[in-house]
Amino acid sequence: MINIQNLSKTYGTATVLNIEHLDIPNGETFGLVGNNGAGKTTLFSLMLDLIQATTGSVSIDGIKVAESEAWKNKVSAFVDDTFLIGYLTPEEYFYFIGELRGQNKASVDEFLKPFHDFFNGEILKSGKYVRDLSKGNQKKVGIVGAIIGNPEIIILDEPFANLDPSTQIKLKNLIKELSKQDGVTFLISSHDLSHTTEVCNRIVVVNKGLLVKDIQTNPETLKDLEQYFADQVSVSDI
Amino acid sequence: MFLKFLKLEIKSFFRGTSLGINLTMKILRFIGILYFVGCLVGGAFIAFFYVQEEMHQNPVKVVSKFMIVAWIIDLVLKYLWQEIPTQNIKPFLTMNIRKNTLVNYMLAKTFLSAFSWLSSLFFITFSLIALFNGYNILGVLVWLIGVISLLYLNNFLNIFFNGKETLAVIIGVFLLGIGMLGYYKIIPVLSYSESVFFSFYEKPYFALIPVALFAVLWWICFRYLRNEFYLDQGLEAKKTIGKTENIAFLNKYGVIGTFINNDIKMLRRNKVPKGILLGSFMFLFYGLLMFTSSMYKTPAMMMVMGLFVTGGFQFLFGQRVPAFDSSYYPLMMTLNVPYKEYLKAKWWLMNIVTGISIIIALCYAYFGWEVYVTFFAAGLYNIGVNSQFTLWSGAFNKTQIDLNTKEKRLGQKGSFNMIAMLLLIPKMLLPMGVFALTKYLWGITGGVISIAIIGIVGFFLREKIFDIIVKLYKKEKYSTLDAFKNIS
Repeated sequence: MINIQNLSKTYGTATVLNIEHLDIPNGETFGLVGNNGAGKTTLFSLMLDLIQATTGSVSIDGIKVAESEAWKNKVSAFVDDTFLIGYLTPEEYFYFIGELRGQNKASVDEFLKPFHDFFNGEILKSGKYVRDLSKGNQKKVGIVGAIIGNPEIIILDEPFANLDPSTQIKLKNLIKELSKQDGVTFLISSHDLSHTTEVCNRIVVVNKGLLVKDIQTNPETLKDLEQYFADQVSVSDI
Repeated sequence: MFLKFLKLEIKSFFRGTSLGINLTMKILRFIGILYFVGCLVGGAFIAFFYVQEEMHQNPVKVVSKFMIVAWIIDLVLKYLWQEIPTQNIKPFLTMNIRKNTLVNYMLAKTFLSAFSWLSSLFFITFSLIALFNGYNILGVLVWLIGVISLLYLNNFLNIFFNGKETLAVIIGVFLLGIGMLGYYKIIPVLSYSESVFFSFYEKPYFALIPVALFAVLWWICFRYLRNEFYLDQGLEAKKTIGKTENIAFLNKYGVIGTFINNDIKMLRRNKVPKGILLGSFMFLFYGLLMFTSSMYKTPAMMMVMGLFVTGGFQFLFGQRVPAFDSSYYPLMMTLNVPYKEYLKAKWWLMNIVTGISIIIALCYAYFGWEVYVTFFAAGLYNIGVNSQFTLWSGAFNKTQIDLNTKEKRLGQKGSFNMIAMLLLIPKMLLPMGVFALTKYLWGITGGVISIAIIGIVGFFLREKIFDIIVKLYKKEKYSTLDAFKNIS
C-alpha cells in the first residue's frame, strides 16, 4: 500500500506537483497519464526518494520513504537510462541486480529463460555492453532488470516508448501476468492511452502538477481519456 | 559558416556542466587557468633570460635543442588524453552544410582543445621576448611558425593513431628507444634537434618544411576522415566486444562482493578510471623522490611518501566515490542495499588495493628497512584512518564523471573543495606530525608503533565512523542526485 499525503514539490515559485491525498492499494496496476511537464516523473522520483518533497510525504506500507530505507526491499524501478550501468554486459547487469535482491547466478539464469523471446535474440550473449545497445534494447534490459527478484512494487516510467509493436504487446502480457499471478503492484506512466487503459485497472490523470482524474478502468475509459485530452487542445486554442 | 561554429563552441564552453557548478568553483577554475597560463608565460621568460644571463648561450638555440622532447611529450599527451570530437558533429550531418566544411570544422576543433593552445602560449611569449631583445625579426617569426605547425601537426598524427593501438605501441617503443639512445649519449638526439630547429631561425626557408608537412597532413587527414564520414564508420564511437565475467570467489561476501565485482569492471572498462589506475600505479614510485633532495629524508616527509606510495589508489579513487557512479546514481539509490553496505564495499576495495601496495612497497626495503617500516606504518594509517576520511570527502565531490570521455579530465579538476582541503589535516598533517615527534622522542620504533596504533584504532572504530559518514551521505543525497543529473 502506497500512501501519499499533502505531497508537493516546488522549484522556486513554480509548484510542479501538488497532490493532497492518494492511496494505491497492493496488487493494483496503476496508470499515470498526463502531458509533458504534468509531473509524472516528479511523482515517481518522490516515491523513490530521489528528490526531496517540499511538503508532505510518501509512505510505503506505513513507512515514510524519506525516513527509512526499508522500502528498498519491496520496490524496484526503471525510470530512465540512469538506471542502467553502461559498462556491463546485459547478463552482468541482471546478475548484479539479482544478487542485490537475494538471487544468485543460477536463479537469475532461470528467471531469464522465458525472456529469450522478449529479447528477440539481440540482448543475451550479444557480446555488447549495455551502453552499445540500441535505445529500444536498453529499455528492454531496464524493464527486465526491474522485474528480477520478485519485487512487490514495480515502477516503470514510459515503458512503452521506444519499443517495437511486438514488444509492446509482449510487455502488456507480462505486466498483466505478473499482476494477476504474483499480485505485483505496478505503477506505470505513459503517453499511450490505449496501452495504459488496456493494462491498468486504475488510471490517474495529472495536469500541471494536479490530480485531475481518478478512474477505475471500464470499457468507456479510453474514450473518456481521449475526450479529456482533446478538450485540453481546444481549450488552449491551437 | 565558421563564425557560426565558433559561436557554438563558445556556448558549449561556457555552458558545460563542469563550468556551471557555482561561483566559487568558477573563480577557482579561473584562477587555475590563470595559474597555468602564468606558468607557461613565466616559463618562457625564465627559459629566455636564464639561458641568456646565466648560461650565456643563445636561448633560441637551447630551446631548439629541447624541442624534440617537447614535441614527443606533446604527441604522447595528445594521444593519451585528446579525443577526436566525433560525437558533437552528428547533429550537423543532415543540416544544409557541406560535408567538406564539417570535416574541416572537426579538424579545426582539435586546435581549440587546451592541449593545443596552451603550449603555443609558451612559444609565442618566448618569441616576443626574443623579438624585443634584438633577434632577427624574420628568423624568430619563421621559427615560431615552424615550431607551432609541428606541434599542431601532432593533432593529425593523433587522429591516425587513434584506434590503431598496435601502431601506437610500435611507435611508442620506437620513441622510447630513441629516448634511451639519446639519454645514454649513443646518438646525439638533442644536438640533431638543435640543428634542425635552429635552422628555422638561421635559414628561414627551412621552415617551409614543417609548414608543408602540416598542409600535407591536413590534406591526408581530411581525405581519411572524409571517406569515413558516416555514422557507422569514422563517426561511430568505438565499441569493444562485451564479455561476461565475474570474480567468483567474491560472491561469497554477499552484497559487498557484488559491489566490488562491479567496481572492478567499472575500473577496467572505462577510460577515465583506467587513467586513475595508471595514476595510482605511478604513485608507487613516489618514494623514489627521496633521492632527489635531502629535504625528503626528514621523518615528516618520509611519512608523506609512505602515505602516497601505499595510498595512491585510495586517494584517487576514494574522493571520486559517488562521482564514479554518477551516471547510474539513481539506480544505486533505489537498489535494495543500505547506504552503509555500498560505502563498505568501496572501503574494502580501497583497502585491498592499499594492502597490495604495502606488499609491493617491500621493494623499498632495498633502501633500508627503516624506509620500509615507515611505509608499512603509513599503509596501516591509510587503511585504518585515511580510508574513512577519503570517503568522507567524497560525499562533497559532486562533479559528475562521464566515465568514457578522456578530454574532460582537464575540466574535471572540480573534485577540489574546502572540506576536502580541511580533511587533509587528519589525512596528512596528523601522521606527519605524530611521526616526526615520536621518532624524535623514541626513535624509529616509537614512531612506527605510534602511527600503527592510530591506524589500528581507526580500523576498530570503523563502524562508528561509518555511521557518521552514512548520515552525511544521506544528507547530501538529494543535492548529489541533482548534480549528477546534468549529463552534458
